[in-house]
Amino acid sequence: MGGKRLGAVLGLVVLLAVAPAAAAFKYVEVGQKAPDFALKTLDGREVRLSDRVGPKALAVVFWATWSARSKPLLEDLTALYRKRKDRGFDVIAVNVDHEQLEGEARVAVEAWAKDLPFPVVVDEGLATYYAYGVVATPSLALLDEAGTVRYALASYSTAAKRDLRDAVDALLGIHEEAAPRFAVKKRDYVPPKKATLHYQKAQVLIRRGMARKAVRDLERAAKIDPKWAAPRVLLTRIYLERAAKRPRYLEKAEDVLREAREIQPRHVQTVGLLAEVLEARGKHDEALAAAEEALEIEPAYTPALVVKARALRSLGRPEEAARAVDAALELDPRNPRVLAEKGEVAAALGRWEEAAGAFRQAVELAWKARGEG
Amino acid sequence: MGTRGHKGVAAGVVLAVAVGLGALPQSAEAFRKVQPGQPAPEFFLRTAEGGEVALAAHRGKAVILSFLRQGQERSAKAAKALADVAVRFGDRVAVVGVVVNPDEGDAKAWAEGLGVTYPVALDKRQEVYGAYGVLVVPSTGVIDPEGVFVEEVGGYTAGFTDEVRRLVARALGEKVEEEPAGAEPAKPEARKLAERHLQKARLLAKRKMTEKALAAAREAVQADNTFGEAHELLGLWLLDASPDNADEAEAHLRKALEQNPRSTEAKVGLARVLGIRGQTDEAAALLEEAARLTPKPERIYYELGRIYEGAGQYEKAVGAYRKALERLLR
Repeated sequence: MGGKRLGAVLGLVVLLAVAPAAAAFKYVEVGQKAPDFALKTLDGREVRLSDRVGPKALAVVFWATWSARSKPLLEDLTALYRKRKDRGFDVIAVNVDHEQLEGEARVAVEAWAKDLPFPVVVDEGLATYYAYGVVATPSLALLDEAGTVRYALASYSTAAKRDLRDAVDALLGIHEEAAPRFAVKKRDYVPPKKATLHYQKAQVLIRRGMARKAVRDLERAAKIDPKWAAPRVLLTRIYLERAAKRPRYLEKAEDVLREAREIQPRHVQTVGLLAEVLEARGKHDEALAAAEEALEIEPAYTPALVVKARALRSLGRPEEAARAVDAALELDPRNPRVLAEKGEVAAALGRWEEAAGAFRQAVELAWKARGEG
Repeated sequence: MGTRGHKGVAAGVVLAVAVGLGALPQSAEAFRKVQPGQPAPEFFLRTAEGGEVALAAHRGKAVILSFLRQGQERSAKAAKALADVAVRFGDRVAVVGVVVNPDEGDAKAWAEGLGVTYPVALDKRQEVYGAYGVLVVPSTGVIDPEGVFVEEVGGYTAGFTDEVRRLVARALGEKVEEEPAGAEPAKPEARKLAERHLQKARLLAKRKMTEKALAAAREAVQADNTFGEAHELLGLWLLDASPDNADEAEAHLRKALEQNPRSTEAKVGLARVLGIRGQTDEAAALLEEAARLTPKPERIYYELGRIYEGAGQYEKAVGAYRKALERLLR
């Protein structure tokens, strides 16, 4: 093995150790290639992700002017970009203010964008936002020079600032300070390529409505890599859709998820989905515990907050449910499932007017999410 | 067109078909290999949704089999029209769309974009296309509940929906409706002019030039007062512009319903008029009825929720919104 090659391998090992177990997206995993997108800047230029991949570290950040934590994240990214762009750091800022950016919202976004030194693109119809399965705004994916996600961030706490900087520095090969602190952290799992390919094929099939075919690829991915939870999670999502008609699939889903949790205990999507399944099966106490477990792994994982609220409501604790749903709303205020739960909680508290308003918004957002505005 | 060879087919069916044929206007022979009165060729295809569809599975129902080309305007119109026919006959009829060019795009997205909810099969190797000897696309055939081919309609023209509906009625042994008489259809010239006005109106509406769009739509209905689509849009836009337009909107929406009694949009608009006037119960009744007649009632339940919410009946509003959400969040 030549010195250069060895260096690269060592670099990878360090990198793996660096990425903390965060999850910003429902459908994109650390270790997976980031789905491509082509979006337009405010002045109409097209920016394609695959064309921008190449620098040592590329941050894709989803942000909105209505989200409180977007401002500090963009400010910190700006500072980091100025300091590190010459070492190979680049940023694409994807605005997700609204499905159709117009009027005052557009003016606000323009005002923010003019201070940003990197390209700002608008996610028309929020197609990219939904394709990634963003669970909180802001969210960030950090890609390596091959376009693989190496680090992901949901929301932006003060603690995350140092994490982000260290993750960027690790990718840039400036890891003297970063490595020791991160080395003790649990590493995120990066699966073998063949399993990843099956997994990605399954994702494409599902997007094209061919879930039946996807099952085969997911089972293969799971078999090739018995230590990887993600294909099992996706398999469960297919089971859950079938469960609407055939409830026995709920049981099946629970089994697969419990198995996945054994394999990768700190995989937030697994635990979050397990909570959902348990709640659907009427096991409210267990659902609540699983939701809490998911939130301990990733406090900004909105789907777990929604299940927590639902479970609390089912257990006759609507006030606590209201707190959970409000936390979810703060992270992801344009998610129809969050608003639907908000409506249910308000209804449980007998606040019908508020419930009707939340439900109305939920319907409107669900429409927009399907592109039927 | 006379009676045809009919070996081995139940005599009653042949008789019904033969009598029907005599009464029908000449229809282009769109299928070369299938004759009325013969068993329709079986097929088994995958659907765009990932399922399967077989002709044999629909015994006991009339089947509308339509060969469609995704991306083609006429096919899109035929596909949408068939959804209306399907609603009219409920579960006595099954519609199967067959996309003859599944490799030229995302057939599922295409069908969904048209609001099509019946199965859309993918004829990847043009096997079914070949077995029926399809000459033009779209082509639409009707098969009776016993699997006997009734008749086909080639292409897509103004009378398409009525013709398919008559064929289905015949396949089901219902009394065949007479050619639409009475209301003299507007002169083609007037309709063409009206269509141009409406097209302009749509463009203006898209650019949010509301007043000008309304003016153009008014010109469209002036040019052709039997243009249901123009009445419908005008009525809905008037309501969007201001609740003060309720009276004028109502007149146009009723006119639209005269032309197309099953228009969901027109019913929703009329319900909004009633809601504005505080006639919540009447509005709700109209919407509940409309919801039963459409395969995609989400929008109607949403409007129902809006009307209850506007009337301060929040608990009922929640119930209606919930029904819409159940379907949307699936």
